[in-house]
Amino acid sequence: MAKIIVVTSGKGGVGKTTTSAAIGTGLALRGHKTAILDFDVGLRNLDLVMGCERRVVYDFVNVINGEASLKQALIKDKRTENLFILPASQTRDKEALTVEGVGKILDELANDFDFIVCDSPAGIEKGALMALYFADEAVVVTNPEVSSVRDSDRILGILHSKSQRAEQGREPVREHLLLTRYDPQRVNIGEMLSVADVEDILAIPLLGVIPESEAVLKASNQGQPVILDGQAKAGQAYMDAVARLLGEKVEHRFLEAKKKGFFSRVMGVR
Amino acid sequence: MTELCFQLKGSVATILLLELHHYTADAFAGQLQQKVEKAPQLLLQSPIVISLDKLRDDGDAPDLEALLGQCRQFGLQPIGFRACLRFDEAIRATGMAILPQTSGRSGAVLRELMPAGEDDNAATAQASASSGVAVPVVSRFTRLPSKIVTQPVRSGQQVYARDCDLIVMSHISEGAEILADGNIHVYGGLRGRALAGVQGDVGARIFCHSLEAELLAVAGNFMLSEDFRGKVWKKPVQVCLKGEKLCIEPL
Repeated sequence: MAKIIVVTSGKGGVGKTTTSAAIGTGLALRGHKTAILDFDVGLRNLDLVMGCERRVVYDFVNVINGEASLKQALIKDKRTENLFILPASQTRDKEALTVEGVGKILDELANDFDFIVCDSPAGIEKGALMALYFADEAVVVTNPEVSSVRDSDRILGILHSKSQRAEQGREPVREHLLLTRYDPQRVNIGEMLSVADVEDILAIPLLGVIPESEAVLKASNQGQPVILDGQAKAGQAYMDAVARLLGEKVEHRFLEAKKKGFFSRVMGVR
Repeated sequence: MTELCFQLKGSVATILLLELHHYTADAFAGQLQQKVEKAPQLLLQSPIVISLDKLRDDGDAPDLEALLGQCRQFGLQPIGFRACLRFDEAIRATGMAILPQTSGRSGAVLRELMPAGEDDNAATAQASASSGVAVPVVSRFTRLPSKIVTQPVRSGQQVYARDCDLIVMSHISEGAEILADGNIHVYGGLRGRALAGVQGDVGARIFCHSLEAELLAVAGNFMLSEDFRGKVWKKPVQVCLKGEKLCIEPL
């Protein structure tokens, strides 16, 4: 039985798709058969970040409408074993997603896969609700700024009341906080909320802190999940997060600003 | 699925109890008229339960139809009787409800509810006790259990404790709202909006571990965070109503 993980945030542009791609790839790298589903119908992005946009023939909505089989629509990743992507439709609107349709697809995937990662669209409407409805676990992606934290809080409330687990009164969805675009230097000068501030407001366990990194944008533009970049701090931080998601205890890294060396201080180089 | 037409719920209401000691039509009418003249707001159109528990045990059941007629004539609305078994048949004949007898405790005496104007309290109480009609209020023997929330109340969520106290064992996020007919206790940061005594209970209070609220209100009297962002901010406090003004006191 697959574990269904929703990557959600409420607010847009905080790194949901980047995170879905990274965590999905990371789980596959660790040997788990994983599918990443793009729920952002009408604004599909996941295939771009995963670098498979030219291989999209059928999409999520085609499968729901019975126009294609799941097997036809799933795109096998070329770099990573065990990894598949189900792209969203670019031409339909989000009303095409139905509880029955999504449930059927997830049921079918559940027999075959270890993990299903649902990449949620921003907002709290149909697409986002569908992405989180069947979730067993939720990765709440948050930037260290007040509006993002507020929206994450809102989405946590929705997970508590509108998920299938909540409706059926089962054990609640397991929630994880993933703080992205974290810049310890800006935290130190009070321009950014600290990890402790965000934890205090959201009160859910911390899965990882992804440092602000140029590597993320570069990776997205190249259609390569940043987690494959072992040199980048962001890539390493995502790998740590995946390990924690699998239940391992890994020390948090990249929380402190790097001390400037004597040379860079004298020269004023950053 | 079809929507439910109704829901059955237990509820407790405070109702006036007319405790009959002995009954003769003329004396009853006279004394009832006096009571009504004294406190018309309290008694007119009031639902009332007639108790025969304390009825002097010296004869036949009183003429219940006549008794009901007199009550209605003076503007009361009898809804049922509270009595021991021997009156069951007579009560059934009137078509009124029969309420079970409660244990010994008697309610607060109406005196507390009477307008304070004519202060012949002791005398009235004496008089009424000896002469026939005393009208105690039924106290609330059963009380609804408090509503307890163990999870954080998050932005966009609303929790309402109807007819009872609300206890939250976690924090209230900014953008969340908690309401209670009774008191509110928050064992975490109170960052959202908290409204106690929303049905108008001016005695309701708010207690919290850390005051960071956007809005506080007791019985409709409210304060915004800009009014209390001083000494008490992020401190454990209680909030209560004094007159028409909210008071925030450190705990």
